[in-house]
Amino acid sequence: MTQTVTAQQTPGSTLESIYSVQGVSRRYGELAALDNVSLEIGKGEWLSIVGPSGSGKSTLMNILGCMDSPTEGIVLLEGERLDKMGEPELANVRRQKIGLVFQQFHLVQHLSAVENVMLAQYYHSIPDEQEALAALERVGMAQRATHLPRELSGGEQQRVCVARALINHPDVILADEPTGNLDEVNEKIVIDFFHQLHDAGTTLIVVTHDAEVAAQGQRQIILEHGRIAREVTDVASTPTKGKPANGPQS
Amino acid sequence: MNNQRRMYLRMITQSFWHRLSRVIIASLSIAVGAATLSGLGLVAYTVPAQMTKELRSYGANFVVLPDGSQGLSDEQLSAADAVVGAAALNRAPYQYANLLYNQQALTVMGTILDDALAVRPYWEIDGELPSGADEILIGENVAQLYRFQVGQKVGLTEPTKADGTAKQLTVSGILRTGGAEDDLVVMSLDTLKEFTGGVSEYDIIEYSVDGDGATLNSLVSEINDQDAGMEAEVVRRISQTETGIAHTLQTLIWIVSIIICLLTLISITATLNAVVSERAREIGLKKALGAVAKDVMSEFVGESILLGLIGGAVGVAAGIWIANFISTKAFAVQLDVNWWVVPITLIFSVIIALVGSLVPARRISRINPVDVLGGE
Repeated sequence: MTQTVTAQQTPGSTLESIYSVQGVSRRYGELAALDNVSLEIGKGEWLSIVGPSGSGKSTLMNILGCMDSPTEGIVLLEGERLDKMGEPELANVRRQKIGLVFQQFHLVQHLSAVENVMLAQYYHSIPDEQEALAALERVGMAQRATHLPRELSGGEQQRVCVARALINHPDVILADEPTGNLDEVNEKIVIDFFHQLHDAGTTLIVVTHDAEVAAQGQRQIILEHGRIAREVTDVASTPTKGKPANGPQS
Repeated sequence: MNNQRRMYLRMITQSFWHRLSRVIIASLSIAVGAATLSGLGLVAYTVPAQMTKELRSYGANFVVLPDGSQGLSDEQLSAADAVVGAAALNRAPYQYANLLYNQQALTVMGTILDDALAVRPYWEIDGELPSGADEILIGENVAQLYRFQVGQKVGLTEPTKADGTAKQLTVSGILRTGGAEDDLVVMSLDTLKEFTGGVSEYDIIEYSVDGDGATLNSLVSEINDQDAGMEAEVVRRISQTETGIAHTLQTLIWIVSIIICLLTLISITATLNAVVSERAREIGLKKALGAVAKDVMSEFVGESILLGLIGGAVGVAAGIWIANFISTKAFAVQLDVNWWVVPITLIFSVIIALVGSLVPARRISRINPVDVLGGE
């Protein structure tokens, strides 16, 4: 039976969905990484996706990020069916609408910080070094613009990754364990920056193990065995930092 | 240059320097191929040409003889010249006669002396080439037999003349060849005419022709087909040597070229495959950022072109050095470098690099960001 989780209305927001996931499954042979998941995500919403390893968080993230397609079901992004698109169309959606933040940062090692940001511009439209420097300025990395990734700390690399994700003004930021490799100070910098983006109306979808990070969202969905086990909308009861987000009661 | 192109160049050059060890290995593969091919190419196409020039010092490779007992006239000489045309590097006509010295018969060869020396550059003269109608060269054996010396007056007589008056001629030089000329008296045609009564009847015309066996055979057919009282022949021992060298070298270069091309291709493909594997995560990231396979492949192709140019430049420099070494050490000829080898080798190197990148480029198109960027 399909379980539908609807977008959370927040003060000043509408119920208009940016994503509509309807009965989505992703199977690898006999194994179902996602099993009949339905979900609505509102425009400007901050959604946290939590769950234990193997619960299907990253698979859902990959499908929402247009890097994978469901074997069953429908995925709509701003009314467009992603599940029917081929690779070139999906690449175009990734370019135009999505900013990605990775746990492992995934910066190109031979490009400087500013060139890594310009890389996203290069595939999106036209590289503009001044604009890329401004994006690094926003994340407090302008002074390290010419440094190579190996010359940066983990926190600094993640801030470059965030600058790269926002450079093309995407409709959605998808972050997969964005603080997983960061210390407390850098985690706070990144989370504060996410709050700024959210306040500016950007939709944020954050996959995390960290309960404190998960609690920053307006809504949490808890995945287990490829299904949505629970939904939490009470964000006031924030768990302790570092405590696994194992699914508070909805 | 627009920002897009500038960023493209920035990416491929940065990638190049970042993987210098791989770049050096891949460039070396191409450089070895380019060096071998350009080197062998220069040897195969330069050495036969140089050898032809060297073999000209062994004498003519093409002769025209009278077809019958009559000598060749000036008209026939002109007709033969017209057929050989620009292919003739040098040409000399010869007329033979018997004269008497103190009632002893001497064989005399009349010719255009400067031309004869050009066709027979192996002539060694102790003294000078005759500069006037009263001077002659004496073959070494004749000089020894009659104890002739440079500067000495020699009285020669035409045997059929009734009065027996000898014409006094000065020995300007002693001719040493190690061949038949050592038994001759050599003089200009004008000097000989004074004995034969002004009639030029050439017994043989020698040519040094710039051409291979096929060219020479074609000239033979053309002259013989004219049925103009002339018979042309190829001097086989000279022309076959030239043709043999050219054919052997060119066969060698084709075989080695094919082997080198294959080895270079295998090597470059293996190296670029390893590069793609190393860069799978970077390629996946670029696709995650919105690049399509074509975008990433165009960067890869750009790097391959750069690789080909660097490998080709190193290779052609090494190839010229190798060709020069082989030419001087193995063939004892100085290399005459044809500079077309530079652009041809660079183009070849880029093509090899591009062909070698085809298989790795196909792998790029199959890389899925999800598979290489990790996750749960």
